[in-house]
Amino acid sequence: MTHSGGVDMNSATGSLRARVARAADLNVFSCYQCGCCTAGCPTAGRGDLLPHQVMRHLQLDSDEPLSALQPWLCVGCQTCAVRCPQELDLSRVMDALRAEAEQAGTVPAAARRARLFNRIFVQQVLASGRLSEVKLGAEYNLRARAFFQNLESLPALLTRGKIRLDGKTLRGPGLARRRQALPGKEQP
Amino acid sequence: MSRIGVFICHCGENIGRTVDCARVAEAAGALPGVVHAVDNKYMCSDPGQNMVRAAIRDLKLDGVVVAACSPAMHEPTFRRATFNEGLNPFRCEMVNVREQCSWVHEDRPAATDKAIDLVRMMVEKVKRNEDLFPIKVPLTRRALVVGGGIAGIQAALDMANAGIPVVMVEKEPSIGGHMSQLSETFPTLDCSQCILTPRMVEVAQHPLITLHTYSEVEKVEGYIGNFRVTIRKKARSVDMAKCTGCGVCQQKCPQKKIPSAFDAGLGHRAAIYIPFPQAVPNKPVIDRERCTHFKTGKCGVCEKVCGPGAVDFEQQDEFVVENVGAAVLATGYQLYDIGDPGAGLRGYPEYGGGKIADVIDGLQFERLASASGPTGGEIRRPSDGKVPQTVVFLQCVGSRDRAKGIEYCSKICCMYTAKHALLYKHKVHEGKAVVFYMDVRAPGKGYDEFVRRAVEQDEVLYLRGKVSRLYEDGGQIVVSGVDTLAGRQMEIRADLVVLATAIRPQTGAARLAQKFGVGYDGHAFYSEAHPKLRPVESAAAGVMLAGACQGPKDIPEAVAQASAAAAKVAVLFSRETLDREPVVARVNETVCAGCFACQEVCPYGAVELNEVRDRQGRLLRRTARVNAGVCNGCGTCVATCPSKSLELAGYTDEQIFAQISALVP
Amino acid sequence: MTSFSYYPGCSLHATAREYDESIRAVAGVLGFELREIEDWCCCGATPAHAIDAESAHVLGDWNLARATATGAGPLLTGCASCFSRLRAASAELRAHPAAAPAAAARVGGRIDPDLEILHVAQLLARSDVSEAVAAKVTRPLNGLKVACYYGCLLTRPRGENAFDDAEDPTLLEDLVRLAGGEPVAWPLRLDCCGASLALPEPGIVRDLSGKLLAMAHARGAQAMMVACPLCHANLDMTQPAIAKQMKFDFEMPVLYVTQVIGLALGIEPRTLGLHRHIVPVRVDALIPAREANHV
Repeated sequence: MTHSGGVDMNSATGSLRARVARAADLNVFSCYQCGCCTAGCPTAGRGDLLPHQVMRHLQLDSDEPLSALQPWLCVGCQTCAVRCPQELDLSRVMDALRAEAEQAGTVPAAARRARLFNRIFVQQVLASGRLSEVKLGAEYNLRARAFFQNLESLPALLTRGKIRLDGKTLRGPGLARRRQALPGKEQP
Repeated sequence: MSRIGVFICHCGENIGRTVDCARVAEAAGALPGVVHAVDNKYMCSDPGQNMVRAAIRDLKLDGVVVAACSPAMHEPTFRRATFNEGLNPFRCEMVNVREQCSWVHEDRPAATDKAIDLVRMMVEKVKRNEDLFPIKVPLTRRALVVGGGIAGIQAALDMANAGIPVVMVEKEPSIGGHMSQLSETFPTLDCSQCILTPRMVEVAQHPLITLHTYSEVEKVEGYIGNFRVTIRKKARSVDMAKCTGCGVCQQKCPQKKIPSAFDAGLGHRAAIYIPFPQAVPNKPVIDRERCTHFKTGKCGVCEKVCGPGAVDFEQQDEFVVENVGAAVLATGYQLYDIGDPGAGLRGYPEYGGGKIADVIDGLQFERLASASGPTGGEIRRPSDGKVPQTVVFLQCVGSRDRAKGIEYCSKICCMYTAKHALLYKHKVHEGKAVVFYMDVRAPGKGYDEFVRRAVEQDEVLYLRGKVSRLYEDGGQIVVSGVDTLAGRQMEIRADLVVLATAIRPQTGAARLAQKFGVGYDGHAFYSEAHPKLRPVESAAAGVMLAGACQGPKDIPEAVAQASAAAAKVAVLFSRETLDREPVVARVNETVCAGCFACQEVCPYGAVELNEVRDRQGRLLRRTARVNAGVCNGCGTCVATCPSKSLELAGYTDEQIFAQISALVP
Repeated sequence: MTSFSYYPGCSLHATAREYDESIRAVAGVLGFELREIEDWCCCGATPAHAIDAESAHVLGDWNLARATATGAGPLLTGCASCFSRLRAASAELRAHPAAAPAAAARVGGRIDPDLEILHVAQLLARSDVSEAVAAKVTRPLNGLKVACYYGCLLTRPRGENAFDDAEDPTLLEDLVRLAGGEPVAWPLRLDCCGASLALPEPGIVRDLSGKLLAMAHARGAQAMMVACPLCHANLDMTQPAIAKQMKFDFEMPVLYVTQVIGLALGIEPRTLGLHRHIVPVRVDALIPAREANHV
């Protein structure tokens, strides 16, 4: 089932509300603002808009969620989704809002780290098909200028054989095929 | 040659806008057998009806076709007019050119052509109509009430006081229903038992009321005016005639730790027990599933201590047949169970699923607050008997919750939650009462004022938001909620949590409805015949509805509906006999082969066995016969009969085929 | 020999290699053949669908196509995140069968829409497998108090092929009992550990995971059991940092479900990769030897 986002108030087809409703496959007007999503959200209150306020702004067709931090703090745990009395999956709304914010260039400054992490992750995965946690951590620390983050655990991980620095994880059979199928490019 | 009159109604603009009524009249006038065709702005008005009557009188019509709205709306109107002019009313038929034509089409010429087709078909039918006469059925002036809660009690007393004998069936050992469990009632805070128990006694003592407690409706046969109801009187294991209700048996019973249903599981009772001190009848019953004697054959203490020798372990279920002319269903409600909500519904594991002792429901709180309850009216929590210092009330638990399977509002929770919070504050002055709500719906008389009083005078804190989950921690319950108005998460540590759980129909409501042929919705709430104009009748003739079995209701509403249902029964019983529509099936007994396929498919049990005998009384053959008093004219038998020996009066094959031929020449 | 297509995922080849080792060890004892999908991709985890729905679809479809080609029976995975993404991709294909041919063409291979996707814990809890495990238990956990931690992605969303009930799962507790341990009742077993915020928002992860460790500890757990490499990383690898922040050292060993079952099956701790954990797992202390004889 696909929802258009409900009532067509002032040409809503091209509006943020309509696009998010389509991407998340829900009717934003089904939300009756009970706040159950906010009540159970592990990161609500650390951002700006609360999850139920994100829904309210969408109902009003306001662009405020586009520049909100909350979507970037969403961990995708779906607690909101399994407890919503109206069966709305807000984690999909947050997914859609991040994509919209990227496109509109309205990612808030406070979301810099989360955005960088997601981008590096996806770029690395699309480059070779697989992910190396070392490479991910290294590139992230470098580009986020968090040079020493998590560095203290490095020796323990190396001695326990949990990480390797030779990049073998990334290769595996079929590397060429994967590279061909995936749209990404190896980052310099 | 027939002499048929055709009358086309504009229904103001409703039909006239899309159908060219004058053209329809012109086309109808040219049909063979039609001697008169005319259109009019409002056919149902007095002048319109007079046009019909004048034409019947002056042109000696033998058939009338009215092309107008739905026959459900005005067929009685035009048939009455026809009858008043001396023509058999079943020679008048309606063609629906509004709902089935003008309202659903836009193209005027095409709609007009369709209206002409419809009229032509009906003219062909009416040519073949015959005189039919209403079937008179006798009436048993006695009513059944199913359910002995406040709705059933009110309906029974109103009818009995109007002189109608009443048979009341209650499945529990005592009448009184949920209202007998309540502490005080909103918005006046009068004591529930104080106002209810006199009514219960009145039921028991009323000379016109026969009371069957611990009984259930087993089977329903017959039809409006003539129901034959079989009632199962479950074995009480106590001889009601001998028992004096002294109560010694329940004091001496060694099994004393059985959770009491009356106390919503918070108190205990014995295996032989009177449900509560004001029970009617005030006589005990043995819970055979928990009684040591029934489980092991030992014990028998109650039998030994009973002076009058009333305990009877051998007692069996009894069946009683009662003949009644009407019934009032008042089977009430049950609360949604967060642990085991039943088929099709999802529970609330996130609220502990019923496993946290100090998370209780509204009826349990009523028992805690009630002077006759397990704590004598002191608010003490179930786990350790301590007086809770912080009590959190959650509204809409299960209700308005599509994910749990209940999308409706349970209507009474806003009010009883306000009452609970207020009662708690009255009893524990220094305590903190917090209510999580989504909306406060208090539209009754004095209701909103009551909620404001709780907020403004009794300092109950209302937080707008839903709670994501509850868990036990360090002897308290952690409530993870939100205040959407302040815009922040609210984590509260509570000593007691009270859930306003959804109102649901009683277990077995659907099964009972099927026995009476009463419709019900997806939740098994009984359906009224018309939501506005027939709110207390079911679509099954002679069966009325009262109380929460039809939808969530508070006490005043349940009582009002019960009185209305009683009035409906009184109206029905004001007649000598009942007239039934003669549109019934009839068997051509000379060709019926006696296969009884019709009997198999008849939903009303209207097909009977008929024995054809010769003059010496020897059995020649068996055929089917339709009891016209029971038949509802659905036609299922007609469609089933392999030898075409059945036909439906007013809708014979000949009539139907004539209509089809008129459309597809 | 029962065989499965096996999708380890990126973590199980790196920081969670002990999970991979223990899965293979337990499968070996139970006589299951695991055929690793040769050219699997990363599932995309949370970041892919978080910012790039299109790539998330390609990654999911790619893996389903390779699993279909492997053709070794149900697709088995140990990672909650991979499990969740594979389920989502499969559900998407079933919901939109018209789009299936294009999806298959894009990743160059047929996709079986009805391919069964199993999490390792689900397989172990299947009645026939549980019976086989029960018959082979040689070193029961002797009532070891274990807090089962489901986290978020394992049981969510609801719907087809769900791991267990989304709000009231019992599967991991059943497995602890099967191994002779005693599951601890604790209320936060479905709460999120912070998952992929580990890099961008380590503070949030320390808060959330710290709350979990504190509650499990308060409820008397001697160990925690997980079925997800991300949960393990946040609870085990981050534990020293959490201890520093909360000024309390929980010393809470965090075991994978296959390590718990593996121990009960008598597999050597080293084979199960227990030596690779940051918080040491002292098997002899956790499971006193004296009772090990009463088998």
